[in-house]
Amino acid sequence: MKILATVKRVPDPETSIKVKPDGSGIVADNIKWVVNPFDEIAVEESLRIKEKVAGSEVVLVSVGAKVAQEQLRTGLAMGADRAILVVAEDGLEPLAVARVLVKVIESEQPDLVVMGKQSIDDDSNAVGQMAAELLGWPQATFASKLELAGDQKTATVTREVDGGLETLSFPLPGIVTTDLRLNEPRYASLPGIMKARKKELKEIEVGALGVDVAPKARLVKMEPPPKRQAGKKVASVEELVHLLHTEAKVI
Amino acid sequence: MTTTAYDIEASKDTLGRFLRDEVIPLEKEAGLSPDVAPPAELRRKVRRRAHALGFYAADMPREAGGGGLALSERVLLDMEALSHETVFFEDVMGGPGGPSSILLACDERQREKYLLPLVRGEITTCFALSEPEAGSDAGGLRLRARRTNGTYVLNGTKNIITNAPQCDFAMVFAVTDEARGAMGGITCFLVDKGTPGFSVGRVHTCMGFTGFQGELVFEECEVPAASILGQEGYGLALALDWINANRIKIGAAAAGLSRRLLAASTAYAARRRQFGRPIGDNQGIQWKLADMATELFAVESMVTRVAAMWDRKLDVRKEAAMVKLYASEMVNRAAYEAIQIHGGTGCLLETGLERVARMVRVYTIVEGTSEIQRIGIARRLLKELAA
Repeated sequence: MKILATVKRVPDPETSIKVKPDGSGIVADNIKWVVNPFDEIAVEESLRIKEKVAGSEVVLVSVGAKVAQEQLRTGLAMGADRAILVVAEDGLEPLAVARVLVKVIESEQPDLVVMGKQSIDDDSNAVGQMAAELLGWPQATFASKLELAGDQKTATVTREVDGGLETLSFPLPGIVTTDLRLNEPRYASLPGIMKARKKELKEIEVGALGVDVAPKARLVKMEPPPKRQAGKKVASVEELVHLLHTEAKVI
Repeated sequence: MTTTAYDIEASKDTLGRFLRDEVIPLEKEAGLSPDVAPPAELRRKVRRRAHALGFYAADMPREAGGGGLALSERVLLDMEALSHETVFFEDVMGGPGGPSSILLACDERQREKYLLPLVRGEITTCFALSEPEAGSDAGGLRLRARRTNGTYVLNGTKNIITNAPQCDFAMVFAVTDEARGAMGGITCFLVDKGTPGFSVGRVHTCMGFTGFQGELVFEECEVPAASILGQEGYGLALALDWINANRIKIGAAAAGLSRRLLAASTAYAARRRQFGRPIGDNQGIQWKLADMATELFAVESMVTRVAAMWDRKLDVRKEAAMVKLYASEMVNRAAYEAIQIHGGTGCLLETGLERVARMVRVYTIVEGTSEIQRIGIARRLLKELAA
């Protein structure tokens, strides 16, 4: 079977992010870029299916600047077969990304699309849902478990929902978005990294797809969260209760 | 297939994750002492995993099951590996008990028995040259290999041999021709643990670690002629090429450890407040940091340059000695200053700084003391002048 997995280039979650003084975005220099951790889980899940179902192919897709090649190479080094980079400006809106993905899906015709539930930079959590809607495909988001029927015609997904688990079953093709507990992604091994250079990485200009990617919203301002105030020591329980009531106004 | 800078950068990432997410947690779970050689079984586990990820034996040839990396690439990974603290440091990239280019001289039978399993991390070895009476002066070896009918009988003791206690087989350098001595009279034998007459003597407690070094004792130990590595009388010749690469690798290890020392010192200087301001505001501390960083950069530059010369098969005897000399002394200075910057805190075991200081002390001694390196460098200078 053919599985399409998404790979987005995002700042390393362990990097300390600084907002530009004019609030127009984040300072992009000198930060480390990685595969969006939820996408890494999507790649891993796709590879596990490939290992179980003989003759499967895992195709990666990314939408963004040319440098996202690095993250696609990481996915290839993990074991994916080939990659597609739709070269576009960074920061496309979720609907635009969904439209681009739909074009790629229509031409690749995968049996299953696995993607991160959200990217850790913009946290929109929207592209998977939008793409499924545009395609008229079934979707299962926040997957913590994914199983395929023996004939690979049906997927069963356990979803992490508030206060419990929900199990969905649907016919393929469909879209699954991954949650944190679905799996633990493997590392790209050194031999894998070297092999990855020989694998196909196709680039498509976003303009060639003929979809509307114009932004519908405008970024007004980005602000860092307020600095944490220093704590305060109190002498007695009475004083604590008093301050919680009069100053913090929480009781 | 050659590798690009991107491949190595990406591999460094994987290496860092492997150490942070697997190796260090394994050490914590098993409750291992950071100062004692881990149990052989756990070390094998780490080696097998490191081999699967392509790190262990990364610079051994592919035909031997290695990663086929150039030395100039491997040293970048060595620097990354040593910038993380773990007692499994010998089992990630491979240390003195691991894959050794000397063993590329193996014949077909030795290759199957020793080289291939060694590269896969299944077994380990040790480089048994030093003796109580012979270290820098290899000509002073006393361990004799007496030829009998098609076999050799070994008698003598090796000491302070890294990985002697845990090795599965030893590369034993023995005198086969007393008259020739260091000039063609020394032979390398591959001897299995468990061979009658071969035993591990004392396990040394060293200032760095305990359980890694020990003695090997040979008493009328009979081995077949087939256990000779290469040819009789070529033992030291085999070791010569290898020792240059090892000197460069010590430079890389020194750089990796110094990165750790510099990072800890810089962070501490920014955080520690005395007299109402961070101690990093004082020029006295700033100069120490600046010198540490500059010397570290010098060593990183030397290591990568000499490793590239090695890869081009140039004669690096002088330069490898320079790297070893400068890097080993540099990391000792860095360890001293890192503790000085940390003050009393630096003396606490929990900071890990005193461990580095103990660990690197031997760097100016192994693979040729600083004094031997200086002699070697100066002699080559004088020889070049005469040529």
